[in-house]
Amino acid sequence: MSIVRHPVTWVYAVLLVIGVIGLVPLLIAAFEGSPAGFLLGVVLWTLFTVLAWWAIRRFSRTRPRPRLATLAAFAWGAIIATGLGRWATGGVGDIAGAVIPDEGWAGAIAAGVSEEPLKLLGVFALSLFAATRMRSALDFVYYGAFVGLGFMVVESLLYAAQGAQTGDSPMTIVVEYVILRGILAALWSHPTFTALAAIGLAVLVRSGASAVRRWLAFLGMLVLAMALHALFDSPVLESNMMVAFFAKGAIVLAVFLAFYLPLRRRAAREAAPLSEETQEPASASS
Amino acid sequence: MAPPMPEPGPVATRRQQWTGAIAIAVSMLLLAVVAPWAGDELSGQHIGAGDTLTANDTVSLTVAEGWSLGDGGGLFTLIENGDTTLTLVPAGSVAEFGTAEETIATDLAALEADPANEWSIGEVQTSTTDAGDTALNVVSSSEASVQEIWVISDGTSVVTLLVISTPDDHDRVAASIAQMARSVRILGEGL
Repeated sequence: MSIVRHPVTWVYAVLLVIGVIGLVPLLIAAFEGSPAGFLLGVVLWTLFTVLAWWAIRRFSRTRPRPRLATLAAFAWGAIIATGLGRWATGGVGDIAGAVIPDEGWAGAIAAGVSEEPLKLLGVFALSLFAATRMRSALDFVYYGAFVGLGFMVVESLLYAAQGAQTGDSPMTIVVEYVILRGILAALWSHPTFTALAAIGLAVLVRSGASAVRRWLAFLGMLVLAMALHALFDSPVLESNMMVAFFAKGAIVLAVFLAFYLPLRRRAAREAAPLSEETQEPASASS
Repeated sequence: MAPPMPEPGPVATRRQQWTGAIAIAVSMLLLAVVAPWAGDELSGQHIGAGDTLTANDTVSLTVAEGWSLGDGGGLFTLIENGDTTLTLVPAGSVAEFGTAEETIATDLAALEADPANEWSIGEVQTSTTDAGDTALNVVSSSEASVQEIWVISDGTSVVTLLVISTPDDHDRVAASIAQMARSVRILGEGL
């Protein structure tokens, strides 16, 4: 069936337009606040994207995925999730602020609760297309990582440009943001959160388990991703920012690896004999 | 040699495609439309043109187009429009805080003594509110900001509106500030 006749294609297109409408004013404001800082941020975050893109593709090279679908995942995170996130995160932030007295926790919980579903919906959208070749949980992890990468890059670009407006040395601030939010946080940022939640989504839409177990797995992984996101953004250990950064990051990464590595080992076990005997690909994990 | 591309994923039925598309659209609607609306309602940020804003049940004003409720920290009521904020200070008694003339003179003296900015202080204007109370206002400007002070008194109580803006933004909202100042009604003596 033609991709044009697929209703999700049209939902994606409409959301893309809304995402652009939400995102462009933020980009213009960021540019006007510090043109040099913004342009440097664009260059550095583009370089980071190329490197991260290559690294994820290289890491999952034993099972290649279509480039166009990968680009669609990245665009969902970069444009749709960030563009609509300006309204969603603000709204959830107001709700959290009304019921949670601590401002730091309210903001952290709002970010996790709003941004994780926004990103995961992109993985769900892609899973409805046969051409994305999403069969195993590792495929969902792969697309989740690219949705998260898109979100991380655009969000960080906006933050860096905002930071550049307030400091005496905009260029230094932009470089610091790339090092801190990009290079150092690469393993425990949005790609990790979304990839983790995507494991639960894979169980929901590809597993043959009972509906109750599939929904429990899906909601459990989504809540876990939200909780880790909130923990990372939270004021815990805020008296020492660097200790907080690495300690909370290590927790996020450890939880992700606890789910990811068994999946990878299982896929390797299943693929090896199958590829020799029947040439059948590994079926849905979990 | 690179491994071959895996087989296509399961083909979603037409029903699954539509269910998925609707689920995505509804989820996005909940996140991007319903959540902000609920947030506005819960945080008390929902205010529109024509709504009545009160401070400590001692003073009210009618909100003009383009203004939204900000965070006044519980003590004052603050509304925002672009780069401009308007703080509505609850009414105080003339016996305690002085007359309108004395109140505005105190405010201007504080501006003149401001060590951080050099203020160009305008002429004090006198007018009457819709409720018939006396209103004094003055616009002062520095290089980076504009302050407009309105002091309104019914002879017993005195109310202050403090506007902080930027030179560019103040011109845009000046008319709506005057409109809201004229709508001020003193409801009680307060402190």
